[in-house]
Amino acid sequence: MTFTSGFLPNFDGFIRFTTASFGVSRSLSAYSTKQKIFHNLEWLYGTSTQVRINWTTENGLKIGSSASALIPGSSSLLYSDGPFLVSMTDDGVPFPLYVKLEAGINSDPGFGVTGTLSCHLRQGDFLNNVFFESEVGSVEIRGENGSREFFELTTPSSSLSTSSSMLEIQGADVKPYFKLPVRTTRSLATTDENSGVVLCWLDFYGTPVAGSGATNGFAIYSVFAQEFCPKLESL
Amino acid sequence: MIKDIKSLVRPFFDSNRRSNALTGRGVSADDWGSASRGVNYLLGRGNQLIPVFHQDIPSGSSMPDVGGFTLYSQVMRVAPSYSALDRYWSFSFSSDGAGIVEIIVSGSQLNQTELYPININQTVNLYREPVNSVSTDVSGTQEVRVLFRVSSSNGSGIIPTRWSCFEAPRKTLNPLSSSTEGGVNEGSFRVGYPIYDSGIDQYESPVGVARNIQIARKQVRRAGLFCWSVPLDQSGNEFDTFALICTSSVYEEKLKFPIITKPTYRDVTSSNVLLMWVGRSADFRAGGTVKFENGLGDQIEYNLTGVSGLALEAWQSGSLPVPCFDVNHDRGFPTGSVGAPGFIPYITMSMKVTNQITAQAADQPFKIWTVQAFEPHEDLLEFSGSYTS
Repeated sequence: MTFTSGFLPNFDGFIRFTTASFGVSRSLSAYSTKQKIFHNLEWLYGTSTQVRINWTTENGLKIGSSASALIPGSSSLLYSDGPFLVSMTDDGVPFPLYVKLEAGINSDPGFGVTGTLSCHLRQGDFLNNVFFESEVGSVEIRGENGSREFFELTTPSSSLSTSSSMLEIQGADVKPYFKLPVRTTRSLATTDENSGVVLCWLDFYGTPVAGSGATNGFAIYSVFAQEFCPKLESL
Repeated sequence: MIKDIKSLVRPFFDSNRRSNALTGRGVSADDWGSASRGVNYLLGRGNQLIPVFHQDIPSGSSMPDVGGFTLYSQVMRVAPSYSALDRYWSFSFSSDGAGIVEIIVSGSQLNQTELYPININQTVNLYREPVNSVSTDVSGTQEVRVLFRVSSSNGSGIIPTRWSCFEAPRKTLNPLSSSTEGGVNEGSFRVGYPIYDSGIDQYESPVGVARNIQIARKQVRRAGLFCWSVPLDQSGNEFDTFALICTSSVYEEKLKFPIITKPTYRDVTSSNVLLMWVGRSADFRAGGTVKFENGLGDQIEYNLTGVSGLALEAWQSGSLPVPCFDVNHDRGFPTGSVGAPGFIPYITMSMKVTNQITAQAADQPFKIWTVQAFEPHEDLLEFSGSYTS
């Protein structure tokens, strides 16, 4: 299975099947009928991708304050989202997710920080046995007390947006999603009737530069991850 | 004709073979078998009912206390598929001290877990909720109530910080088990087998594929688009600490969340989002208005009349169009005047107090505890005609 830049087929609408639609022969020759069946199947698959993470907080998820200082120059796990299930594709095929991270500097005094925020994908099974982990993006952040900067993670290089709204992305090179290299190794079954699944976590690491993180920290305001709509033209 | 009615659900979508459906030529049994595997995958994989969401509740916050226990509940809705046998809930807690938390979902205990003093966001694991029956209302959703019973050495120090819910994928489907199960017997696609067999068209032959695609159209959707929910008391009555509370007679923005919908047809640029929320106006003499906006000039407003007591009002719902992704966009983003690369549509929710008989809005606050967004379900088209020929 290969994903390309092709298009989803047009949605033909669901037909009401009658005897006449199928005829009585052993092979369907009615083009519209059989094509619609395959069209509709593709359409359902391509448009039913799931929203896995979607949260926004007004106050921000404050990580690393004077009470739990980050260590300048070292990478610290700040926050994890998940576990969440990712629909599988064929083995080895990247399965993109939108990951929009809104993070910034809280307006609290002393919360400014300079450093790097990176996002890692971790995969495991129902017993939380992790068998795959990779970095999917990072961004440099520069904060000033009393300000809030919004940006999103990009991969492989960082890109910083300083727009006033989380929904305005600036810059021609912005890649507002990650391609998470999700593997499809089937994991442990849960019950006889349920399929084993692969679970994922998104881990966010912060690395303050020397002198900036001892009493300061990061704040994450929103994370949004939605499975990409696959292009099925060349299946 | 029935050999085996177990319909296998593979872990990924089978290669679709639309290009093999040609005018004037038959479609091979192998290609129909591929289609059957594809529709079984769609019916069996399960939906994300509640996307991972983070509650903005600081550690150490005051929680409802009943007889030495911290007891509180949260109410929300899910849009289930009818084929799921199990749901999995994932909770993370923050804890200032050791304690035990008992989780009860819709009256059934899911788990009792001992916690130790931890930092924020400890994932406590997944809890399986068997789905015995699914009963949905006209919106295609059902209410779920989660009760937390916490025994803590540090009072109310244990609070949930993050959770999610998804349906476990099925290994097999059994189309004979119920009328809503769905599933196609892929073993029925062999050379010489009929394209239609009276009485078993639900799960065999190309007719079975077609029928199950229609079933899948209703079940397979972006079930949960967004969820925001905060604790109530143990009875599901109001608890103000974390609610969205408005005391202003002019709109105050309270929530802003991203949404990407799917197009119903190829050329449409927006699709409706089903919005549901629950709250109350604290004084029977007053009321509240909630407004949802899509950033494109569209909005819906709903008025809520105040009632006496502490119970929440009935669920409110509305529909709002939101830009959907463009199938011609190589990344699947929405396009249009606001569709610059990276644009993700959003919905903004605002609140205000209305119908005040006095100017003392602070005495008549308008409160909301849960706000959710779903993709509306499609009406299920039924077959017409008969298949007796």
